[in-house]
Amino acid sequence: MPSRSDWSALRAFARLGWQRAASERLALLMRGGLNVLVLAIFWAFWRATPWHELKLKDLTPERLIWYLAITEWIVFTSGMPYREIEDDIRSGAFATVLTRPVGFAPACLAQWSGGVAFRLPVFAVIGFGTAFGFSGGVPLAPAILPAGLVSAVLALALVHVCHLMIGLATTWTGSAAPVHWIWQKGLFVLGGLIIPLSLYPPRFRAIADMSPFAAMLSAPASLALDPSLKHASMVLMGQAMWLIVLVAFAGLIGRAATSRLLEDGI
Amino acid sequence: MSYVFSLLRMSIRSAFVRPLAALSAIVLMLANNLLFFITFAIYFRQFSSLKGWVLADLALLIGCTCWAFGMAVFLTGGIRDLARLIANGTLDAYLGRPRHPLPAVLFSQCIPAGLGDIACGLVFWLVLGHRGFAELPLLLLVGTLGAIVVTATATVFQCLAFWLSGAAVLAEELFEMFMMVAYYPEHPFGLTVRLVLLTVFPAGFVAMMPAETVRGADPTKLAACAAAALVYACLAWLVFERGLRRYTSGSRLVELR
Repeated sequence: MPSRSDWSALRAFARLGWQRAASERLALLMRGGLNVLVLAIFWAFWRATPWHELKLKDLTPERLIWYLAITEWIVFTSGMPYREIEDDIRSGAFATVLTRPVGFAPACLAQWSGGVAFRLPVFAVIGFGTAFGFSGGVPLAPAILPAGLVSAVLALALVHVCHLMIGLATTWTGSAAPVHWIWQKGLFVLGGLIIPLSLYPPRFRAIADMSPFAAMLSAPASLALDPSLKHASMVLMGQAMWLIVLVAFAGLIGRAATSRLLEDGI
Repeated sequence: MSYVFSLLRMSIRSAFVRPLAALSAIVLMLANNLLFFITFAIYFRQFSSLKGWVLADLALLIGCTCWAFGMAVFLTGGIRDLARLIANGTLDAYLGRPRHPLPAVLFSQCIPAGLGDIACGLVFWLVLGHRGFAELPLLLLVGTLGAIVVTATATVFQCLAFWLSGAAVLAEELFEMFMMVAYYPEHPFGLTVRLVLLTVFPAGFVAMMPAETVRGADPTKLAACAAAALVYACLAWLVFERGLRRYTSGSRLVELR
């Protein structure tokens, strides 16, 4: 169990993450612009789609733009923090990280959480404002909003645990970028970034549902398509389960990476 | 030209110093692009067409984007470091050479993952796009013209560092935006957006216009692609020259390379 001084240190890392996120205004502005651009592209895309060919009648451009706004909210808020670990390992700065009293992984996650706490409301305003501007309405019932927020936070936690593992992959591969490309595309396809999993072929949907990627994107975004409390509770339970599994796996990866770096050097 | 070939030879050799790492980057980039295509395959399972376009047309468009981007990063990978070179004064090392600095910067780095994109382009065109080998010369031509537009646009973005501080991040984000737009079909967009994508933000000349050229075997559109490549290349050169006049460093003139 972490001590009081450990919690104090983790709060300091979170504050550092917040301050760094707050200082990167230009990057934030550009990512906000990219967010708006993506939503604009897909608004045109969904409006050009021949919906009369679809058997699922409750999927409309208005609901789908909100679906995409939620998935993009998670993607843009999380960023690509694995690069920090990659840079630390490649530059040798990782050696200083290992000497800290607070574990490397908790410190990293605390710092990233601080950044997320800053970016989450910013991208919510940008993305949801854009979706509202295009669709003219909000498909989410007010009662579901707290569950939606918790689901988004759990999704970001899952994404960041994966980024931790991707960054540590640098220990073996020398560069984490190729690992990140494949993971990212797995997230986009199996996570249903653009197209909800309900449109996938049944077998492919089953594979996606069994992967942790669905819990990262499709699960929170599905609340825009099915805002019932029963569905929300199923989503939250699934995400909590995956968080436990991925944290355990990240612990194993972290131990393996640390012992390899200690034995072979940086 | 022999100078350019010498630069290319050196950068390609240095990129493949670790052949296993280079090969894994190529293979993973290939897998990356094919995975991305699955989203559109799923879309076209549900819908017959998108404003007259079918899956093979999307494959043609994505193939054009992959080829253009792949060629740009494989041959002129150094361009993505230009803003950093300007910001920290390392551009000085290029100014001391007898030749113009821009080719030296462009060809200073070769990114092996670009070969994965280039290979992907061929797969998308010939396999998923159902294009014949007879169309390959036209595909290679329009794809290469698209690569020139990509490199020229990246150059203009990176040259922002001559005027703005912190432009390295801005340039990278703008380039990501540019490539994001190029990957998606633009014909569902309205006229205003399409005009922007064929002028100020020329993503339309990377994939959409080349794909339309091949689909319709239209010489007018081919001429437009060629003209765009020439215009944007000249624009990039002019912007770089103008920026160079503002450049005031001199801190690295004696750096040995």
